[in-house]
Amino acid sequence: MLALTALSAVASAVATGSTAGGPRRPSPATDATASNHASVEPIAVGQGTCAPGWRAPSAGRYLFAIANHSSRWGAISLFQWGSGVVVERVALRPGGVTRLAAQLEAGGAYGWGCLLLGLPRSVSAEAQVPSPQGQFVPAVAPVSAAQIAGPLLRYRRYVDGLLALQQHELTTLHEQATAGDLAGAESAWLAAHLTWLKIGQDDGAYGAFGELGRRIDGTAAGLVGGTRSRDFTGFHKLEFDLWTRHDLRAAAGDTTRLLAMTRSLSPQAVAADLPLTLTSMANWLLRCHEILEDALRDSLSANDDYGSNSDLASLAADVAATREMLRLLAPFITARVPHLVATAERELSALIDAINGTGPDRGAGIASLSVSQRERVDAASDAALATLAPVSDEIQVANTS
Amino acid sequence: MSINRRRFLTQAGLSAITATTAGSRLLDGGNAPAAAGNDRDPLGTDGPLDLETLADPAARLAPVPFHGPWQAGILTRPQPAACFASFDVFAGNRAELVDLLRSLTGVARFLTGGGTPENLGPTAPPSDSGTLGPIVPADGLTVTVSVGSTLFDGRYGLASRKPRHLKTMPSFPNDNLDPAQTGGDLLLQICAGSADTAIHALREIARQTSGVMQIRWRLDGFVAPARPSGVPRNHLAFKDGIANPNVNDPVVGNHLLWVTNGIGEPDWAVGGSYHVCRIIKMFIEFWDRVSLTEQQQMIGRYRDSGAPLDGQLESDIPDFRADPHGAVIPLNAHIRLANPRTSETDPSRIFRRGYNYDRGVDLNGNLDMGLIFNAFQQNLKRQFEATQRRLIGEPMVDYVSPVGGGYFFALPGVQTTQDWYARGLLED
Repeated sequence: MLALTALSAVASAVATGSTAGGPRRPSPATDATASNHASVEPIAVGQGTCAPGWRAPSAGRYLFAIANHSSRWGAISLFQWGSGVVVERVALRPGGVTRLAAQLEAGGAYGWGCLLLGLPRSVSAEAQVPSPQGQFVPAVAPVSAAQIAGPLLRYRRYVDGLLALQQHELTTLHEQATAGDLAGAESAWLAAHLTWLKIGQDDGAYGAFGELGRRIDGTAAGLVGGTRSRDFTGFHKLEFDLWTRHDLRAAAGDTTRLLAMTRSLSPQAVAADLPLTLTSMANWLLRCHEILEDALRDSLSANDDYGSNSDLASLAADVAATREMLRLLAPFITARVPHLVATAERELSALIDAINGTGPDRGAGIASLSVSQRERVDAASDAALATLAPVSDEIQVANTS
Repeated sequence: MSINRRRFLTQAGLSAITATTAGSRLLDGGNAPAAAGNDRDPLGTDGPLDLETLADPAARLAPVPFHGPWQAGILTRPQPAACFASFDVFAGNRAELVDLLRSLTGVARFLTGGGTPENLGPTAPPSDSGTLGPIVPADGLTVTVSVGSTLFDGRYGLASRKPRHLKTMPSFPNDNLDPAQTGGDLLLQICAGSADTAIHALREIARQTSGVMQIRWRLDGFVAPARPSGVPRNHLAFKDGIANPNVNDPVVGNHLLWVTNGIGEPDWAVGGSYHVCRIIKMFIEFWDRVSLTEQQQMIGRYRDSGAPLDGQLESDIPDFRADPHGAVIPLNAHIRLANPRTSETDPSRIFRRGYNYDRGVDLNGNLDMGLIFNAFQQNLKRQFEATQRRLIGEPMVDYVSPVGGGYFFALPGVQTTQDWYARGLLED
């Protein structure tokens, strides 16, 4: 996901243009462009200087004309002074003028960060945008990587514990399949799959486990031959074996393969998949809402059902995983948005109530619910998602310009 | 042969239809009196009939010429409304397939020119549904016919004439194709100035041909007005189609768009074009929960202006060479992967003519909307497939899901009043 590129951008900006050809023509400043903005504000960048004399104008949308007086390639970013959150960023050509549009908020404090190839980064003075009521908008302190390391290490232990439990459940599944007990195998599959979902990395390509995650819990979508493809493996292949094809022999073999895949997720492997880097942390923070986004897309649409009708139970497991994320990150979230965690907890409880309201054992298929039962579950999911979505934007890990 | 099929064969051609000069008659203006009389109870009185009325039935869009070396609806500036309908053909033999395509040609030729439908007399059902009024306006209608690889199976003896690259659309790694809305023997791209014109054309075509071809899947689309200017936006709110090659330039057209002589394609295919149509569902609720910065980094353009992140105007060309590490436009941004703007990748450029679609609600309560990705090119493998491979795993795949569509080949144009769709393919 996106945080990957946003975080790597600053470091790589230093090298911008190192292999490029000749200078580009400056973009023409047309009236059409300028007329959308309050005015054009000149900003100067030079060898050792970064926006000298920078004074924030009043709040509003501005077009900055950034003149690079040096003979070097580079990049400049406008950032919020306290949090270091980058508002806008643009590349600079040697000797060129580049235009940058940005919105300045009343009461905000802003600075410029300048990077010229081969030179140390320089930062402008801080400038405060006046607010009509004379209020000061408090800046949110950025979260350092060291601060997020603690929760991420605790999350790794949470994952390790669930993976160990899952090994037992999959071993039971293999025993039941080998013994010819279809009902027993189905019940063991359900337990093991819900344990996997509680880890919260179930969406294959975008979870921390990458391609291995897809092979463990991906669907047949996108595979040539669909459910007949040899690449269709893991939990959903087993679900297909058990509920749709009633083929216990195939299930035993597929369980052996799944056990091998999940066994490779040793604590060392989990640590390697969730390293203490900015990129890894940013992607992990996205799971706060993306666990439920995946559930909305795959489970609530019944797109990943291969016969078990366990979509609602899966959704409840996804709620459990989301709650673990909230528990680990609560102090950081609350420091920025005081009531978010309590609101999310309340909405997640309402979602569980809506799931339980569909009948015993959460065993009804999505498509078989009454319209009002389904609407209640959808509404509760949407409410929780709207609350959770901003979390990854609120917690920016030490991304100073 | 079924009764239905006989009916289609006997009614084929619409030869007796008389076209009228566009605008030769005026429809009744809409200023009818507000009510029959002043003494009536106001609760029983009708409101005024002040609906907008077109004085000239062809006024919304001018007719698009039907005949030409290639079909209309490709270079034609995208009309506001479209119906995409894919058909499976049930013609019993090659002769019936010829009849079907001649019939289709006749209907399309009449509808795209407009005119007065044939009067079959008081006892027969009317020859035209009448939904566009007694005189059918052209309204910029185009009917673009493309064939799928399945038409070249054993049924009609066409296997040896299949365009070289035509095949069943494969499932790409991020696809989730539903067989019920994928593939088909014949794809009609029907575009017009307004939705009723496009739907009317589909309805007339279907009733003339339903004995020998059945709709496998269909989807209506629209092109949004410029908001506020420039290229129209898709449902992700980004301007879509900014970077399209200038195929009106014959040199570009002959290298990127049209099948020409000497490139290893069958002779009959010259003037045609590979047609890729993909139904790409967009998870717009998820998209709307993502910050603007993240959205823009995924696309590589500013949402509001359409300018690339290193530019100011939508017409600015991104300079990827000046940004080799992706400091401004991330290396995996959509515009960068789709069109890296190098001399090596320029021959893989495709010509897009997409439409937005919007069709109700999904099981999970999300709005079912997305893009009818619709692209034409000279070489399926060199262009669309190369482009699509570059996009595998891009960050945007989380927010979209291709669910249907197919690979087709847009037939060469119908050149004269004696010519018909696929004549070169079907005549020995």
